[in-house]
Amino acid sequence: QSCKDFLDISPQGQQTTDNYYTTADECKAAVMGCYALSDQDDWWKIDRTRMFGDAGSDDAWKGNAIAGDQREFGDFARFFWLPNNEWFDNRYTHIYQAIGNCNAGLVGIDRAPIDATLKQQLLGELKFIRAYNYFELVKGFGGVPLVLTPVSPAESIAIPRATAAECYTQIIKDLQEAAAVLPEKNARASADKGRATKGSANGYLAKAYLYTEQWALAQQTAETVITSAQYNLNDAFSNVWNVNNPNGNESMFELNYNANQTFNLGTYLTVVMRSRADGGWGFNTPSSNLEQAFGNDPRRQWTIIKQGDNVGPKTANFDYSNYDTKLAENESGRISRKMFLPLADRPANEGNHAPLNRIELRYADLLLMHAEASNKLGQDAKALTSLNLVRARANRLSPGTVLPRTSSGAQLLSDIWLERRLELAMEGHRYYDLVRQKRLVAVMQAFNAAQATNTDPYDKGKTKPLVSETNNLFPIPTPQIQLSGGTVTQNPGY
Amino acid sequence: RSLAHPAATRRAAAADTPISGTVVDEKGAGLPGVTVVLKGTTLGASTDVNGGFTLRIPDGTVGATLVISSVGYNRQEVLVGQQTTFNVRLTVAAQALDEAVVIGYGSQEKRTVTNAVTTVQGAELAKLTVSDVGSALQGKAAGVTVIGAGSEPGATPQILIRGISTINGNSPLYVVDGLPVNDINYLNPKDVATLTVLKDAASAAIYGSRAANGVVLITTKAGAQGAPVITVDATTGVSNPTRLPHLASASEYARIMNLAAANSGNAAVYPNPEQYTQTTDWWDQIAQRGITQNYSLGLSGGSDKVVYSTGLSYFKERGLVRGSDFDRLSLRVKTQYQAAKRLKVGQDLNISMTNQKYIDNGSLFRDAFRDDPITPARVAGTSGNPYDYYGASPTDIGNPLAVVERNDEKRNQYFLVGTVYANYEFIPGLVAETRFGTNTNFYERNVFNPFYTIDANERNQVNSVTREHNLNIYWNNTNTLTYTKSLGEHNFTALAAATFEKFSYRNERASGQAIPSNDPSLRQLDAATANYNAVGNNNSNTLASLIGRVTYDYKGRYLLSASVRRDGASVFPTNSRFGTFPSLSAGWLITDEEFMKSFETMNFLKLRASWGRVGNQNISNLTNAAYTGTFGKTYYVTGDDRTAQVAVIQSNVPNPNVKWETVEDYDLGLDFGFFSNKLTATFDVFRRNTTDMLMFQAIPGHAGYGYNSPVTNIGSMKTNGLDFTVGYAEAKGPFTYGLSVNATRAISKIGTLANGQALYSGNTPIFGRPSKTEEGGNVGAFFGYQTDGIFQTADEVTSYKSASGAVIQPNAVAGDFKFSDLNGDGVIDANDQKYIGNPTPAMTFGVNLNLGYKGFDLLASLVGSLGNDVVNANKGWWYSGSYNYNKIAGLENLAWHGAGTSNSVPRIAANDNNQNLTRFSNFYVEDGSYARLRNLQLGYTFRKEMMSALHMASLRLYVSGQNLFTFTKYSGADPEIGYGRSYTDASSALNRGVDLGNYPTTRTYLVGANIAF
Repeated sequence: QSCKDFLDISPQGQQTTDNYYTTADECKAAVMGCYALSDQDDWWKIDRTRMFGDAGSDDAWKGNAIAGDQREFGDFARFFWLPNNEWFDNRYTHIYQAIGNCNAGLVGIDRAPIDATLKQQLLGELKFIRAYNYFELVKGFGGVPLVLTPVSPAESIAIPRATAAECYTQIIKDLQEAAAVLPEKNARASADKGRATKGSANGYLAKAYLYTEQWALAQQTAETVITSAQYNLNDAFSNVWNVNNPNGNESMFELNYNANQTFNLGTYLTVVMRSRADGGWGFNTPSSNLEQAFGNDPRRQWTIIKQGDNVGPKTANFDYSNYDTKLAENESGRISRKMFLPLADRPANEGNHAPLNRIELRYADLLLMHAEASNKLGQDAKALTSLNLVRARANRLSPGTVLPRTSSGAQLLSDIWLERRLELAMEGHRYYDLVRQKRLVAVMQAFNAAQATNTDPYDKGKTKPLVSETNNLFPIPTPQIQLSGGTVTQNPGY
Repeated sequence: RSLAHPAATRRAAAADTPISGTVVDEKGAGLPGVTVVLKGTTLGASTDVNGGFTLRIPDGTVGATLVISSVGYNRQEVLVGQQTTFNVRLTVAAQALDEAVVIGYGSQEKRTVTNAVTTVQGAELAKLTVSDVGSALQGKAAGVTVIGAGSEPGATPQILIRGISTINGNSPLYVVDGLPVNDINYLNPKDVATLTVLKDAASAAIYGSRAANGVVLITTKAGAQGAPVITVDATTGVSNPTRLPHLASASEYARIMNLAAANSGNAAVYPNPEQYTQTTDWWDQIAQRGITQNYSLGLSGGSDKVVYSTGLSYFKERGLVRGSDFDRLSLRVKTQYQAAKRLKVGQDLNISMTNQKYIDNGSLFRDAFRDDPITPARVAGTSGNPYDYYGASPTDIGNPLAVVERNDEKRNQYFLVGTVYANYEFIPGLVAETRFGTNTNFYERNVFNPFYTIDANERNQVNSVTREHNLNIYWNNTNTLTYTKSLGEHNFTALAAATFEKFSYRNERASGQAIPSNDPSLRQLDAATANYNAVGNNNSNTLASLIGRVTYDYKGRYLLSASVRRDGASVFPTNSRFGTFPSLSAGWLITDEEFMKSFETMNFLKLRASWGRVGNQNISNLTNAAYTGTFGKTYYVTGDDRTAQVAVIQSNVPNPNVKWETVEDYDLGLDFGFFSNKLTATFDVFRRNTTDMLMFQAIPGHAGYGYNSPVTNIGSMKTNGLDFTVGYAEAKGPFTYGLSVNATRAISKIGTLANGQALYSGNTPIFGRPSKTEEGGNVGAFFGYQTDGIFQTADEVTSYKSASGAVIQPNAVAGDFKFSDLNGDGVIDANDQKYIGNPTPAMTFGVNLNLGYKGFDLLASLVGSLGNDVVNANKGWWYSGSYNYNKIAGLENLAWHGAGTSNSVPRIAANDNNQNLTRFSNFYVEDGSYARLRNLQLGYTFRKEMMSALHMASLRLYVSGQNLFTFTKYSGADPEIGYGRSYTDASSALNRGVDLGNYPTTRTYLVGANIAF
């Protein structure tokens, strides 16, 4: 007996999975952990791969002109996608870590002795987070292993990839269940703003229907959100991506940050995407092609900072009234303004700690989904209503510049797609939209052709010639194929 | 008269001739207790504490010869002749057969040992001036392979006993004066009296669960009865790197970058490359001359009631990089008292302090050889902050000089290692002993990170200070009962023991930021004004064991030994907590048989065979969290006021089925002695089966644990091998010489792996993981693409077609690698990989040569490795146009630049669309064989007459060079890679031989003195 006592030692300083999920606070902390993992605490884990949606399209370049600085992102931006490119594996593995924690929390909270209503809400919240993360995976990698309960490492190895359709079916199921129990945004207490809401779940549900071309359901779900009256476009376009507008009027789901260095909170993207002359790394710079697509649309200046633009007063170290994109090291003489943090808002040691929330889903996106689904259903009137709501807000920046659309049919669809490009530019959506719209290669070929005659002083002649149908899916990362012993198979063409 | 009896003649010699002399060791110190015998008689004497002896030679003795012998030294014969005073120097025996060998929980006469053990004398180790015992052991013992990975001050090399016995963590267990310790950093190698390596499981099984990687038993110097002896050893030397890569000059670099850009259709990066006349040699900027110093002071002696040995030593090594150094001050006190007639009590105590100025060189060395040569190291500045005045490189690498100069990290460790014991003899032969030992060490780390702005991308706006404390307390209680008995020709020794061990680890780390300035006086937590953080925890684990052993021999000729140990370990779940580790061994002293008496040249032959099982529970950071899931703490932000909410995430991957790893092995050995042991040899073959190997196993992302890994019983491995030592030592008049050669071969093959899955390892940022371990295969063998030369023309690209006529490498152009389409499917993909190298050497070896002539002694020690491959991953940067890192000098000519210019180095291009370098291929694999002159030492011992004038008993002066020459074909900096610095993967046998840039290996020149009073 004494020998047994001598050999019995419990872990110290950490709660164990054996005795967790006993109080409401523990259950809430587990849910918070799933949010935290959906974003992760370091820039290389998931954060940087949010640039895929821009750089994997005609909207942006690798940006930083220094050969070899983040070669793997350069390879991504020029559609030279290698399965051993670490960025893919970092994204894949960390998103799945969030899913694994959701699965554990769903089991744990389900048996926790807590208030039934709270339990249902927390479970709904986890289902939302799980669906969000599966969506993030499937829109890039295609069908992935569909893991819905905690699995041991040995069990995991036997799980093959599900089809994209099967993944979407599960995503839709989770979102429906989440939407049924989550509170509306207005019902969330001030301290809980930023946590998933009924609107978040319905918004992503509409998006899942859109990605699976279930137009009627997409339209209907979007209308549920619209009629809920939880969201509006009252915030000026220029204020959407503002550090002082967390979880704003339009925000349906965003990742929340503060500048706390001790707990390692915040994002690195503001640094990663800023000019190298202004303390940034200069990645993911908007193309002249994107700028030209804006024409005289005033959203241009709130999306792109171009060499010489005035974005603030001159300071001792940097002249913000004549912005320097560091042309020698910038592929396009431009940077993204949505990720641009004015000097006054930058915390010291901003890297990994910028407090600019990442808006993952906003109302304008939902309206444009509604417009697209309605157009597909032949209901152009509805489509125009939603589309023109978005354009009307843009027009407020400079009245008379963004007029309502009156088109119909295929032209309207084209207008809606263009509106998505402009409204949501540099927010990480373009590549996924192009794939969903089945026109990635066509658009990129047109882009390459246009580049040949482009006269832009900064990126004329530069192209992305390696794009092919293979790029409609990311490669499955080499380590995943290896670690699963080949159960997880590669996408075609890699 | 001619028939006069010889005996009568002898008897008639009434007057004897008195002779006298001194016996000294190689350093000239008097050797007490040496036996001096007149050959062919029983006349003899024993030397006194100063090594002096007197003896009377009966007059008329024909050809009188003295035979001088002592345990651990080569026997010497000296012709008496007309001489009456003698000064005899004994050399340390490489393989003396009559010495006592320290074995687990006891000692045994070497001639009766039935297991595979190798003993190295402390004097052999002391020939090298290095910080740690492991480095001193390189090349000295058969079966022991020591692999350094550069000569970073304070770093320890990898020590493999008979190759790898498991694929995770292969450090042997050290047992110092009976106390098991995990690391022996506290110990000055020059304090070692003898070192015994237990190589087979049969000898190591007595240490059960901690012995899977072999056991190294160390006995520190002890006193002997006699007057006090004071010794002083002093050594000092300087060092520089053995070899450094030769990189491009500034203008050459600019030309190469332009060429890379041009070849990919990009604009020139550096207009007018020839304007860059100043080349920054980053290594030169951060390097300094290394300095090594060692000073030891010893005092030993004793009476019939007490023997004592005490020593104070100081070792200091200044590294090759500015600001890196290591020193150790250690005090050793070893005493034994005869407290009562049957009771001995004693203590061994070590108090040490190590101080290290540490540079996190995980990337510093890589960076010093990658940063561009155009950026100036320093620039002028006006900010008033000296940490700002450095050139900013356009690469993503920070200025290495700035890194070195602002680095402020001190690591101090304070050790208290010691044992107290009592030993009581109940009746003759029955001895009980109880020992309490501890290895307590306190670690403190202080780090300051100043604020600085080199440019917008290389800056730290808020300074910070961190202090970390770890307290490691290990304690051990060992209780043994030993009974030795002889019944006629039957000799028994029986041992029973119980041991209890506890490891506890307590840590805390506190940090704060925003110190008012970078001033050295403010680099304290008290000065921080923001962002305080404190973390800390306790971890512990325990082991409880029962041990039994019986050794038996009949006539000292037929030898048998058996042992068993049962261990309980807290790190395993309750149902698999206990393991039993038995052993059995037998020996036959063939030369004791009558029928061997006629073989005079062969004076010793012993055949040994053993079988045993040991366990392994020792995996880094292992606590019972291996089988219990735990939550880690993190935060997430919510709310309009951006509140940080407490959040938890699963922090480990529990494995409720984790259990003991078992290592079982068989050994067959032969020990020979020829020509009165002038020629000795030991030869062992072994086979080792390792099952249920423990390691952190990487798991698929979709298991949901991120990059965390469970401790897993990963699979089994079989190792076959052999090791041998052949030594020859002889004294001829004033000449003594000895040559000893040892070699080790250990080839491991994987049996099974968990889920039948291959393991991939050795991650690099360039091409991913080059090492693959699969069932039936080698451990960490290199698996990649096979190049078939370089396409010399565009035609060669288009004519390289599949069966269906498709071009196999559509992205290739002339100058790119032609990859072999191994499966013939017309595309180059993951299915076209094969094994292209193996990091396991066919053999590692050591050659040790000793020569002595009168006062001079010369020692040469050669170590090396044969038949292993190395992945020179640095080539991915040094030969690539895809990175703006510096290039190897002469790359413009080396690389393909037109038909017929190269068939081995591809063209330089910014966009490597053919994956010339991002595919791991045989381009990276090189022969890693080497031989290194580890030590060359020349000493001179002054004659005794001269010494007495200086009131010294002896004086030896010497000069030596360590790592003077390395013979290798490897093109990188150094072929001794060890476990490498993998980019992300934990250090293990799976990553061997992947060179991503190590601290350089030092070549050291030393002078020293050994003095005794």
